[in-house]
Amino acid sequence: MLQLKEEVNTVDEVKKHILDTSLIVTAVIGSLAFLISLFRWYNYGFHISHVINFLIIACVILMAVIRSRLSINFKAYLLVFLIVLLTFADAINYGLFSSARIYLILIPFVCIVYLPFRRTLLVFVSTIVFYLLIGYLHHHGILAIPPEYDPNHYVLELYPWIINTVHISVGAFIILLVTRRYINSYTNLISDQEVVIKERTEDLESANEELKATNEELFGQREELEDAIENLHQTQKQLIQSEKMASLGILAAGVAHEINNPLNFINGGVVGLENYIGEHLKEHATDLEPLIEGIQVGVKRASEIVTSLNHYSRHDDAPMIPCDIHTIIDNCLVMMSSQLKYKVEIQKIYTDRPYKLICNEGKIHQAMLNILSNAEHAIADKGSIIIATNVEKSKLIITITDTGCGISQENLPRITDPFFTTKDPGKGTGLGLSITYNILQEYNGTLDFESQLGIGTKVVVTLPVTETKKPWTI
Amino acid sequence: MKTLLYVDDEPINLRLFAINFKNKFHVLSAGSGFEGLSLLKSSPETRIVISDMKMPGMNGIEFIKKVKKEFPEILCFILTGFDITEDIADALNERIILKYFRKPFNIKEIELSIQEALSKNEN
Repeated sequence: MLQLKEEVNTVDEVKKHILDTSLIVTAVIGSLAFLISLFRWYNYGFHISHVINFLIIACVILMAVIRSRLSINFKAYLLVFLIVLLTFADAINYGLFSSARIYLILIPFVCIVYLPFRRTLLVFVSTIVFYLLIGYLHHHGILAIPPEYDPNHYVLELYPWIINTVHISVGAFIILLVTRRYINSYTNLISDQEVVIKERTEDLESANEELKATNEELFGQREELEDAIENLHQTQKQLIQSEKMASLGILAAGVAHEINNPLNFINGGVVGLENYIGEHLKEHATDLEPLIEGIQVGVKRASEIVTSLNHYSRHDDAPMIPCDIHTIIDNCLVMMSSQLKYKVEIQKIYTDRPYKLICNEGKIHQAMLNILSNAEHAIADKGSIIIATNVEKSKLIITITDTGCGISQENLPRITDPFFTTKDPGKGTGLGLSITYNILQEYNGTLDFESQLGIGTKVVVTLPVTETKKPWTI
Repeated sequence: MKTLLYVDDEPINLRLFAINFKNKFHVLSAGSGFEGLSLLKSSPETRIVISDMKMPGMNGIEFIKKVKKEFPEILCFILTGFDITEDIADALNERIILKYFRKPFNIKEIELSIQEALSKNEN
């Protein structure tokens, strides 16, 4: 009957339920009240009020039965109208004995649900005024209660108490149920809202979490990008450097060829002259010898420089050939001769044990040149570099010891990192030992350092070789 | 005296080579690969060919490959101002050339290598 547990989500639905509840309560208890009022008929005889009451209660029952087909406003106005009709009819007929007047309380109560406050007040005030008017009419005797209702007698009877109780109960029940309805609906609404708020809060919290995660991701990406940019810068530097080296190599190779031909002219000419002197100018040989020798030494030295340039410029794709490490080191020293002169004393302890090292000569040349240049750079004023080679257990060991400034223990692990340099900006790229390390790795070689600040550095290079019985020649 | 053909695009090199080896070999000179090939046809007694590497029209290895095709018995060498190249390394591996010499040439090295090759060949 009272579908309180039904989900009520909108204010309109609450209003509808309140109205329907009121209708049902009024219909049920009102019928009871009407039946009780029939006692009055039995006790005091028929009265017009019985007909009015019957019509009103019939109307309420009808409304309660077909409540779902009627509009809320229609039901509300009709209910208010019926209450007014009932109370006034009762007041007109029974004056102060009217027990239905209790329903006047319901008028503002029903009105406030469907009307604005001021109109509710207006309806209620007009009803009260009209009620008072009925009282005034009774006071002046214009209206009169039925003669059988003797006040002295009537108030002592049980029946008015019963009928009053019934009417009060109807009113009270309506108020009770409607109020309960209100409380439940609002509790539902509030808890619904709480659920919604909780859900929203959770949504917001998860959105916040997502944002935080996105933010962190963005930070991570930014860091990655920064790293990538840094890498790009380094790669760019490396490219510029290797491009420079490549151009230098091409230039060196071209220059070498162009110089070799005129050197060949000089050389051929000197050989020819020497032979001629031997054959035809023997008496001048002693005088001419130093001159010839001067030319020969000049050609030899120029030729050595060109050869070292040639070694250096060998391309990466140059063939793997048997390499003589001693020739390579000597070529490096020729290239560095201007820097070494009057500054560094070179001591060579070359092994004569045979071995066979197959590799790209240009790369090994570059690796050795980098190590030797570092040794030379480490020496500020005067010093020495000892270059020792040895063959042991299928390994060629090259030890380069300098008396330079040395490397600090904290820098030692980093010296083969690309772009690590202790030199002033522009003085070193920081690529030398990194390139050397990569080259040696390529040939399964190793690169080790021992260093003490102020004393010097010892670089040990090992390269796997095949030991042979006799020395090989190119 | 064995006949030797020297090919170089530099006339001075040709002249000096001829002078320096005149006592050891009968030296023929050619300024290009094409000239060298026609000289070989007219002088079939030639036993040795030494060629420069970088020449217009046909480089030393290309020239020697043509020589080897027509005269497989001829012993060939390269005398170059350049360093060793892949072409030269391949030719060495395939025994198309026996050795390569560097400029400025070492007269003794060339002479020795030729004698060695000739004696090996005769055996």
